[in-house]
Amino acid sequence: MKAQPIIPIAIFILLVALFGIGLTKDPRLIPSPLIGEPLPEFELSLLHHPDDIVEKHDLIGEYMLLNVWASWCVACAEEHSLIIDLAKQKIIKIVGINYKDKSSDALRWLEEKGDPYDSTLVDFDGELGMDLGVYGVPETFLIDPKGQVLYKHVGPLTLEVIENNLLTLTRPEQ
Amino acid sequence: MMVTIRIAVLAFASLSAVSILASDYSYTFTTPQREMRYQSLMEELRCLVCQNQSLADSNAGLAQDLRKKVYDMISTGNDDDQILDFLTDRYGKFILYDPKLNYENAPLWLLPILMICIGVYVISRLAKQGERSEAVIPQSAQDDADALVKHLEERSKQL
Repeated sequence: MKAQPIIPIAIFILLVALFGIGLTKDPRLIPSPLIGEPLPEFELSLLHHPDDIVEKHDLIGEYMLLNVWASWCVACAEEHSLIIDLAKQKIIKIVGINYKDKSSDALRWLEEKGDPYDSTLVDFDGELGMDLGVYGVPETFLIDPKGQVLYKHVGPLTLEVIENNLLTLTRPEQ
Repeated sequence: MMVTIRIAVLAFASLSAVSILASDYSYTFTTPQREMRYQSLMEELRCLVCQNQSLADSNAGLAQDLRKKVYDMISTGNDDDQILDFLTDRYGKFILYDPKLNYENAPLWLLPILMICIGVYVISRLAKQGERSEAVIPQSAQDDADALVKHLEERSKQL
């Protein structure tokens, strides 16, 4: 019987290709089971007006970005100037969720770096964060007018993500 | 009589109230079964911040929160399935170190079986080829072998 090297070589090339594709993917990006699901219910106080309680139905009704941030989070400072630019354009409502943070620290942080948020909710014990499956701040969620989660981005926002992954989803299909 | 029963109940309660020391909290369970369930859940849940650690190993803030959540859910009488559903609804199946068979991971579970089947098929084919090549021994070699066997038989009779 003659040896047939073609088959082992083909299997080898296939495996190399498979592992090669695997290397280009980021294992830190975990697909969120929340996409297409309604935003979880919550009752949180406002950072600037701690006596006012905001619920889910107070916020929904238009497209909005939920940006989960904290003053102790280094990457949040990284994306902050982009969020300020986006807020200046006034194309989408941006709601901040101050995650597991001291309110005094959070207020100082916003004062120093600028406050792009239409409102900021205080998630002191991380309860909403857990319902949203937050595992690494900053995280940004795109919510549609019906209150469904359309997209989730983990890590600091970039111009590409804002344009290609978030804003395109808010435009009606041509 | 009542007093002895009370003492017995107290003694039993203090024996069965087992506490475990985590780095962040010291949790007390009402029954040893609940503590065992807690421990095994900690081992089979992944810490999402430090992905190669289980919740039991990790000191990340999120791991502490999730440990507390699991403890609270056990204490309020949730069973393991309810706890795992709660977590996978939020963090996805990725949080499970030992995910159940489903459509997405079926190839991973079935691949080893497929590989064994391919192996058995290849080996059986090689074995068959071996049989076939036995059948095509040249006639001259067969004759030589027959002659040798005959010769040896005669020699052994003479001895």
